Amino acid sequence: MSIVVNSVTKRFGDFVALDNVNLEVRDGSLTALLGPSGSGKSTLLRVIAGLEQPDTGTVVMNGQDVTRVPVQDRGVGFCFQHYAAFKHMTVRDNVAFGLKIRKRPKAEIEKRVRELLELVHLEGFIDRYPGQLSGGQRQRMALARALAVDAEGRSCSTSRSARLTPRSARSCGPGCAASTTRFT
Amino acid sequence: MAARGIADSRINVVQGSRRARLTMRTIGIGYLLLLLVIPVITVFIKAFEDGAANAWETITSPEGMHAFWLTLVMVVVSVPLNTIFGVVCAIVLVRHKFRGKALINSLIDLPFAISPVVVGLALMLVFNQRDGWFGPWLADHGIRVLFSPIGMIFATVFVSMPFVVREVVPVLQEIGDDQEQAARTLGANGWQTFWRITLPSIRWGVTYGVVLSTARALGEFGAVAVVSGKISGVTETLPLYVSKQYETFNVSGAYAAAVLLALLGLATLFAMNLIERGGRKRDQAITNTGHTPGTGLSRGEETR
Repeated sequence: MSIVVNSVTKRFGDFVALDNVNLEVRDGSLTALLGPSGSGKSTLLRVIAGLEQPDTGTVVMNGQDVTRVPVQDRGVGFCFQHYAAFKHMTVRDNVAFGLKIRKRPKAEIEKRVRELLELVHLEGFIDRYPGQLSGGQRQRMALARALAVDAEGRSCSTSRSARLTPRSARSCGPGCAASTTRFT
Repeated sequence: MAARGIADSRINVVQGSRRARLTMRTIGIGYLLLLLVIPVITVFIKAFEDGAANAWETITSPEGMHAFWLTLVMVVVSVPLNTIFGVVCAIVLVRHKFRGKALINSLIDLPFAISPVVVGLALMLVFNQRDGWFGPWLADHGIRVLFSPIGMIFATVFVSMPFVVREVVPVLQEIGDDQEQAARTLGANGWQTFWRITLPSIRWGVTYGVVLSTARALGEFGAVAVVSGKISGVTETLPLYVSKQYETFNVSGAYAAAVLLALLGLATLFAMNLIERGGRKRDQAITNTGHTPGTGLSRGEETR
């Protein structure tokens, strides 16, 4: 699974967030985008995930141009800066969300959710609500939620200071683009 | 004594002295008693002044029962309309960017700004069958708007339009669109995102808006009075019926009908309290137990 960004430009009004950006993320690699705040890291990831349309340029995944593919069909896992936890759902329902949307069988969903929560060390929090988790726990829940639908291993994380341990970052799987100003 | 002194000085900072607190409380509660509780109690007492028989007869007369049912019809038709369109309008106003948004935003408050009587007269101008804008055309197709329940529904919808929008807009702004975007990246389409993410997040705003528009639809007088023609047993709602009884010197009957109307309103408020209490309990479990760590980042630094 590779991601190629070809001369992408994105403006917000007068502000040029991305100016002719090229990026290649090879299959099985872990890439970190580093830069001061406001330099367009998140915007680039949002373009890759399909949350923003670039003004010019293309996004190619596995050799296919996906620039015009809507976000819900692109299948790129995405961890939001503030985790964007679904506050009215338990950890289980948060992680299961994408699988329920895809109408997977119940037993399979439950099994997958448990696997993912084990992976991010949240197995004891399955019936909690996001409001009952710490910031780091919420981030790991968001990661598990993104990975649930991420069969091909493409994830974007826009954490400013990713509290992901190198180990959990690696567990993102191959082709993971992480946007961070620093790893702690 | 020392401990007492410390406690008092702490209260001083927050609430002022004991005397100041008592004065505040007296003013607040006195105001409510004088303007809200006493008039409502008077209505209840007055209703049974001429005996329960007259009160019962006024309410159960054919005109009275018709007014009661017509009032319920007004609520059952106009509240869902306002709820659906209110939620749609709120989403458009908060989530979409378009030219003239500020204008639409202020237009929504129009029904609050202008008197219901003016609304009624405006509907008269638009729908009267002789020279209204749409009246003659509708009359040709056999649809009568004025002096019929259709026009009364228009009037009711108009005056109770802003409630749902105004309750939902701040909630939508507050929750932001992070969760909706997350749902999209997880494969949800717009419709699924709305039902599974947006609606559960705004449900308190919607509930409160529904209650307020229900109360308004129940009690609307001015606009409905103008467009209905106040025909007994045909286009008379409870508020109109109350006023008709009062004008025809059936004072205790008027109060009896007023009690019925007040009970409908109280039932609405009571229902909301029940829903709210149940829901808030659950919400508290969701948001406030355990620790609620701050994200440490201001909302301005969203992903972008």
